[in-house]
Parts: sequence; C-alpha cells; structure tokens
Amino acid sequence: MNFASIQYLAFFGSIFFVYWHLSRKQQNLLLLLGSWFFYACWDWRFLSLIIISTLVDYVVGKKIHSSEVLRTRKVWLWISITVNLGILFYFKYANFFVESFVIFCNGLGYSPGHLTLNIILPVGISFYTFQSLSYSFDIYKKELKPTNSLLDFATFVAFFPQLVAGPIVRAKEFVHQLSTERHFKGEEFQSGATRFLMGFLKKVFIADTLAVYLVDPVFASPDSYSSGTLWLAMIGYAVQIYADFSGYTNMAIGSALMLGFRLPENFNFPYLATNISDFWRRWHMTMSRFFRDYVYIALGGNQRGEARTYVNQILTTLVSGLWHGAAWTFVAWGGLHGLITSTLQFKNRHLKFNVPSNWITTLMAWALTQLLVCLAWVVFRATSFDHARGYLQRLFSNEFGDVIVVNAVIGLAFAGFVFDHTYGWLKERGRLTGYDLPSIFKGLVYAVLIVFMFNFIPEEANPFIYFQF
Amino acid sequence: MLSPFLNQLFSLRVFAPHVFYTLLILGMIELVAIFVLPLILSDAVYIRMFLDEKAGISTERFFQNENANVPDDITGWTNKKNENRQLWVTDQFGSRSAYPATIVKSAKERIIFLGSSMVNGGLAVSNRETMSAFMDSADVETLNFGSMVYSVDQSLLAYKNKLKVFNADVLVIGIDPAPVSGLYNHYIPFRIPDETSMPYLKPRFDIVNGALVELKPQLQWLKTYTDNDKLYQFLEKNDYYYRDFEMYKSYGLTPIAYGLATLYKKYQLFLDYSLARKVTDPLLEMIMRELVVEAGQQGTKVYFLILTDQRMFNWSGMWGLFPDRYQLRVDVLRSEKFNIIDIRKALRASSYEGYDLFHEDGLHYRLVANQVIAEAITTRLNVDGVLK
Repeated sequence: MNFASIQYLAFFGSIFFVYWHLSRKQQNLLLLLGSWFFYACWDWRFLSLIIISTLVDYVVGKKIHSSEVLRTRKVWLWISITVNLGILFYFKYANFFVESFVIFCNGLGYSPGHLTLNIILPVGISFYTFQSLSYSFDIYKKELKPTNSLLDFATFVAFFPQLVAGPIVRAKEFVHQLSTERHFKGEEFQSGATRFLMGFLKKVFIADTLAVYLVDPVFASPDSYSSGTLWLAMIGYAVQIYADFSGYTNMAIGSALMLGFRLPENFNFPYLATNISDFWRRWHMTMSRFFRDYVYIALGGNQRGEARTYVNQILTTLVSGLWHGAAWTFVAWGGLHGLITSTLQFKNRHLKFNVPSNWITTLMAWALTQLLVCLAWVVFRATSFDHARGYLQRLFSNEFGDVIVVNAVIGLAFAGFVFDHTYGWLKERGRLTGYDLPSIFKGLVYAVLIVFMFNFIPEEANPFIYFQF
Repeated sequence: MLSPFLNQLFSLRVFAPHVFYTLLILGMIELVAIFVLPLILSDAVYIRMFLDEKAGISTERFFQNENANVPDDITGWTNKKNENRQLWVTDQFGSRSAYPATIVKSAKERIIFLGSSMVNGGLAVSNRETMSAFMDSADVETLNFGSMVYSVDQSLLAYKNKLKVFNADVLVIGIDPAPVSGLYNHYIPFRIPDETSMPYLKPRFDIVNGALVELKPQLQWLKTYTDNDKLYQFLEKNDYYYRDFEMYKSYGLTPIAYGLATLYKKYQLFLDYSLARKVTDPLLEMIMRELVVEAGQQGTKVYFLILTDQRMFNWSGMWGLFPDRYQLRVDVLRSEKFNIIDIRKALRASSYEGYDLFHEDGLHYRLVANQVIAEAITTRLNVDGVLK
C-alpha cells in the first residue's frame, strides 16, 4: 500500500475516524493491528519477521535492564544484534555476498557453480530492524528504561507511518508517546494534513514527473543522449530522489501528527549544504545519527587519533552505503562520501589557505559540494560500475546525441523544487519570520493543488525509491 | 441530521482554519466542475482530457495501417494481413493460423474460430500454441479469425460478410467472460478507458420489432475524434457507455466527485454480481441465434465456447458469496438449445492450477489451457459425430 494512493487514503481515513473515538490502550491496539495489516498488504508472510524482531528485543530489553553484570548485558545485546542483523543479512545481503563470492572465485579461475539463492527482499526491512535494535542499544547504554507493555513496544516497531521507509525513530523518542494520553488537537491535525499534502505533491508531481519524463529514459540508455542531456538527467535524479524520499517523509510525519505523534525530521533542505558534512546533517538525518551513534562512535569516533578518525569515517559511510542496497555501487557511493569528508577534514587541519569568507566563496563551496553530491548520485543510481563509468565518461565528453526537451511539466517540477529550497534558504536566514498568509489564501492554494494533482497523477505511481532499502 | 456534521465542519474554522478553507474552496470547485463546466465546455474539450495522448497516437497509426489491427468497414477493425510481430503472426487472410490456408477447401474438416484475443491467444502464446492450433491434424484444418476485443456482434458480422467463403464445417465462437457489455458499446474507450492502444469504433445491433438492426457509425469519424460533433451525437444517441463519458464530464475532474462516482459504480457492480445481472441478455441470444441460422445455410455447425477468466475459474473467497455467473450463463444458454462447450468444467477437470492455465493478466490462456480446451472441443465434436 503506497502512501500516494487511494488505498492508503481510504486506509488512513478509516483508522483516523475510529482512532479518535478510543481510549489510549485501544488506540495503541488499533495502531498495531492497522500497522500489521498495512505491512501484510505487501506480503503477509514477512509479518513474521517484524513479530520476531519485536519479541526478541522486548525480552532482550528487559534482560539487559534487569542485570548489572556487564558481561550478561553484553551477551543479551549480542543476541539482539545477531537476530536483527541476521534477519537483515539473510534477506537483504545473502544473495549479494554469494554472488560476489562466485565472481571472486571466477576471477581466480575457480568456478564454484551456480550458487544464487532465491530470496525475496521484504519491504522496509532495513528500517524496522534498526528501529527495534536501537531499543536494545539504548537500554544497554542506560539511556532508556524498558517498557512494561508489549503492546506499546510492538506498536513502536510496527507503527505504519514510518514502518517501511522511516524516519528511523529511536525508542526513547517514541515509546513514551505511546504511554501518554492523546487527544485530538486541531492544530496538530492541520499541520499534519498540510504536511501530508505537501509530501504528496513532492512525490507525485516532482519526483514521479522527473522520473518518467527525464531520469528513467536517460539512465536507461545514456549512450544515446547528448552530454548536456546527461547533465540535466543527473540533476534531475538528485531532485527526484530528494522529492521522493522527503515527500515520503512528509507524508509519514503528517500521518503520524494527525494521529497525535511527533516523528523526528529527516531532511533539512540538503541541497543548501556548503560542504559534505553539512550535507549529511541535512540528508536522511535519522539514518545519519543512527550510524553516528551506533557505528562511528562504537568504532571509537574521533577519540583514537586523527588517522583512526578518518578510517572510522570511511568505514561508517561504507556501511551506510551497504545499508542502502546490496550492491557494490551503493558501497562505492558511501565510500565516496566518506573519502570526500575525510579529505576535506584533512585539508582543514593541515592546509590553511587564507580564503576570505564572503558570499562568493560560500557560493563556490556550495556549487562544488552540490557537484560532488550529484556525481556521487550517478554511482548510486547506476545499475553497475560499467553503467556508472559509461555515464560519467559521456558526461564529460561533450558528445552529441538525443536531447530531451524540457517541456512545461519538467520545467514545473524543477520550479517546484527551486521553490522548496528557496523557502528553506529564506527560512534559515529568518526572512520569513512574521510573515503569514491568510488562511483563506492558503486554503485556495491547497484546494487548487489538490485538483491539479488529481488530474496529473500518473496512473501507476512509481514506488518510493527508499522502499527498496 | 446534518446539523452535528455542519457544527463539526464549522468548528474547523476555529481550530483548523487552513483545513476549513481548503475544504470550503475545494467544495466550491467541485460544484463548478459538476454543474457549470459541462454547460460551458464542449465534448471535444472533455474527450481530449478523457483520452491520453497514447490514444491519439494509436488512432493515427490505426488509419495508417501501422497497428496489428486495421480499419474494416464491416466490423470496425480486423487483423492486419501478413503481419509478423514475434509471437503474433497472421496469414494472407488475417487469420492467426498455425499452417497456411487456402480458400479452396481440402479434404480435411475445416473449423473456423471466431472471438476475441481469448480465442486467438493474444500475446500470451505463439501461433502454434493457440486452442485452434492444437486441433490441427491430418484430418482437421483450423482458421483462427479471432481479433482483439471483438464481441459476438462483430463475430456475426465477420462470418456473415467475409468468412462464409471459406465454407467451414464447424464454426467455433468464443463467448467472453463479460459478453453483454460489448454489445451496447460503439467507442471502445468509453467502455474500457484503459484500452488506449485500441481506441476504435465498432458497429453494434439493436432489436427492433423482434429483428436485429445494425447501427453503423462511420469509421472515418474517428480520424477527427477530438473534434467531431457527428461522432459525439451518434455516440450520445447509440452508445450505452456514453453515460460513463457523461459521468466523467461531471465527476471525473475533481477528487470528491470522482470518489462518489466510483462508489456509485462499485455499487452498480455489486448489484450486477449479487443480482446476477448481465449474465446473459436477449440481444446476445438473438445474435447467437442469427449466427446459427447464417451458418446453417451452408450446413456449418456452430459451437459456442463459454470462456472463463481466472476469477470465474476459481470463484472462491469473497466472490464465492455471489451467485456463480459462469454456471448461470452455461445453464441459460444450454436451456436455449445452443451448442455449448463448458470450458471451465474442462479446465477444472484437468490437473492444472489457475496459475498454470492463465496468463499473468488472469484473462488470457497459457499453452496448457489451450491444449485442454482443444481436447474438450475435439471430444465434443467426436461425441456429436461432427468430425469424420
């Protein structure tokens, strides 16, 4: 069940209508059953994985909390890590590693035969396993007390607005909301509904339009397009993946807010970043902090010397790349980001240039950062290294070929993105403070947008890009 | 009764003013779209919005003979002759046969197949994997003139005007899982909006004073379908599915109206299924009788294949709560003394599951299903002593 679908609207509407007539416990039960139903709509068989993760971490959380012996606590934590990452590894990475092993053996002249496993990737597995795992981690670090309610914990793991593509919510910021009385509040409903609508618009109008009319055709056969068109498609993909994922996040946060829950923000206008570290503070923020807290810091962070800091940074981004998908292109994409971040940090520490800080240097830093981000997206989007290499070579080759005419729909999609980030730029500089448009004007804009989207929704909406992770 | 609802609605103005004004303005836009725009805008404007650009391209290609179907004055469209598109191959007569045929009959028994893509195999199988191909033998030759989206009225017109010359011994006609709707439709997209690759126009019949009367639109009208008042007037008068287009004009452009219209359609569908409506129809039976009479003039025997899709094949779960439409159709048509071949019975008697028999679309048959159907037809013809 895709958020940008009539089915989801009907599902959410039914839950919403019943939800606000129930007591807190009944609300949680409804959310849990609704969330399981929501997930079962993809494939009911994989519901068992969520239930296993839930039961294991519920028990592990209690066991860790009840013991003061470090060794015992560690053993229980490792049980949680083994189960959650074991599930994730088997369903997401087993095929990948087996295939890589076969390729490696073939490279050595030894043929181990056909070893591919036939495993289906359960949707959202990278998100809910991490979320469940974070609960055990936080209890282990004594940052959280375990909940006594299995219902509350199961609802936290399965909560449908963020079940399949985040934001990755940590137990300490969500479980307490489940044990608090929730009452319908007009402002929350209004904020949530508006947020959902904006997310819908980003997904359907910006992301899907750019995918269908620009990005997919060019990435499918880059050899037949001119290098100028390849540049356009590369930028188009950067905008598409942002609009797709942040659109989904907006719909998730909006849905949760209409039900009285606050989810953490996941995006903060990432294409305003003026360096790569800044980009990661703005892009998929809940994932970044997860890897920072549970991988980077666990590896020692920046506490073990300069060289080790760089190694830790690169390792963290490699793991983050692998988290995105079972392919070496994702690993390379993560590695590229780690390498750039470490190089820039090394430069800042050891090579001091006397560069004045003004709007020109800021603009140049921004342009360079975005160029690097966009080039890395090519590797991320490519289906193989050959595909990425071919695309990048042609990008810089000044080749002639087919061109895609920027029609009104593509132009409007880009304009929507520019509007979004201009709003972010003005907001960051406090230039929007004190401005508020009259409700009737906002109502007019929203109503027109709804009718507009209704008539321009592609018949078969593209699945969200991050569902595959 | 409305008062608590209106109270709730107006309380939105205080606690959620953006939502209130959005709903208010959206409601106003909906009313304008339902009541005002249809008075101002012409059918030409709506039809351009109703059909996507693919329909325009398909229509243009249709008249340039670039599609797998070409214009036909008698049936609206027909299979293009000597076409070869991977699985889809036709001979010099437009027949999708396994072996080349001639008009002059050989010593073999000749069987002509007619119907939709369910009969000709569509793109689900190759020429040698169709139900007709599996009947080809030393004693039997088959010609498969099934054409995409054909309904029984087009089968009658094709046989009566073009295929008698083949002097068949047996005529096998496919009756689709929804055989009635096509008989009341001229312009395909009004009935099947998703069928953008076949935005064609077909003739149909009406019963006037107990006799069949043909209603025939001019095929050339299609060339200017985006702005042709004659076409729109004809369709408004004669195409039962023009009502769907009318509904689109009022209820298709805005979300709430569209939601309500969809609910209404679902309700009608629910009634169709629960009251077993459109299982069969006087017009369908009359056309079938006409086929028997026309063929009988040449001594040709007619058999009707009652075709099933995957849902009707299973007819379980939620669907099982409704009357069994397939069985009802078989019972009614059999009681009318037609030569009926119960395809579902044959498929169920085979050892295959639904996914073995049906293509992913749940409609077209796979190779094994065509084999089973061919065996069922052969058995029946042998029992009736039709085959030598």
